[in-house]
Amino acid sequence: MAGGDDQEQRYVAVAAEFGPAMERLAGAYEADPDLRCDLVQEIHLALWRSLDRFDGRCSVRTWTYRVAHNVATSHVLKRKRRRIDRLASLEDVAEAADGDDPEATVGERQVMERLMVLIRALKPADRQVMLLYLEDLDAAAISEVTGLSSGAVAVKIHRLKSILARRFHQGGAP
Amino acid sequence: MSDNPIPPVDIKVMWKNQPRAITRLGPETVRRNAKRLQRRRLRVLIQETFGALALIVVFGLYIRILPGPLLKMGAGLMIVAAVFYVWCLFVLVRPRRVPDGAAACLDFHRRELERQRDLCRGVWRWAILPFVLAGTVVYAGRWVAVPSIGRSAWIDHLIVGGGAVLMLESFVLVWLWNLHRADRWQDQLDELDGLDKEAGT
Repeated sequence: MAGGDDQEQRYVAVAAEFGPAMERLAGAYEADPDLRCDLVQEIHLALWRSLDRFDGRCSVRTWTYRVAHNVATSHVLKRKRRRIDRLASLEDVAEAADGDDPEATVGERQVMERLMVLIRALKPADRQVMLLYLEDLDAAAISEVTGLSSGAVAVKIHRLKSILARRFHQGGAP
Repeated sequence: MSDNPIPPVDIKVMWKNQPRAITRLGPETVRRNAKRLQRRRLRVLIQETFGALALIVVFGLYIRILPGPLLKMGAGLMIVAAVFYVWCLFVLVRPRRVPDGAAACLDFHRRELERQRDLCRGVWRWAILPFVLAGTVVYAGRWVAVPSIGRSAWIDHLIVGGGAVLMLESFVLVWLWNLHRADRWQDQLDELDGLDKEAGT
């Protein structure tokens, strides 16, 4: 089937370009390694299935991130129903950051671990913005992927930059 | 305070340079998983469809062998209810593909959650009511029919009445269970609405 071949070619291209980003995204949503693997598979599955309906109304990048975040948000909501996690907003995290007692030096691994803990504590909308910011998307692209207004995205980016600066600049690790 | 703070760009670079812990998925694996998922969904649909088909066959036979117009009409309505149920399974209940092209992340979830909630809330309309109507006609037909051989009329009515009450009880339980599920979908919708308010959209 021509459509199937097209879908497969698209998937191969998307997986090659965005595969690592999808894994990072899954890592930010799911701490448990086994469940993370499942989540990555779910994302790839959803991507593969969605690409035969890709209509070119947005970029492949936007499409891919939307699918990935849809699947990952669904995963978090399901998990949240089973195990009551308290997710924090950027404001909560900013307040908590003020009370941190950072150490002078830190290895990259520790920084990454801290960053992951920070990201996983965020509510889905904030988490999406944070992840897309880390993936180097600009505010317009983040707005397109998340469906948030550009004003809301700009405010969130401003807040998260300040959180990252406080958490990872002023003395590095806690 | 550190003398060498990490600039923001380093956080981004570090983020992107994370080691990949997960085995890469080839298109073959993904296709296999997609087919497995489709098969699982199809299996559920087939099971439900076969159940409805069995009902159609049984009540098709009943139309031929049962006495009295009321019983025949009840059997016919049961077949109509089963056909309608199968149609609803394929048209209404079938899971939607993720994602819808124009949907941003939270919008897609909201629509899916609303769809699931409405399906559960409306289950009495598309799944319960047709069977209750058909079942009521069948039991009414049985009530007015000649009692089974060797049974007195009042025992026969007791058995038919008891059967009707049991049927109604089962459907009420199905309805209540679906209302409970609708409430759970609504809880998730409220959660999403909370996120939107918090996001200022």
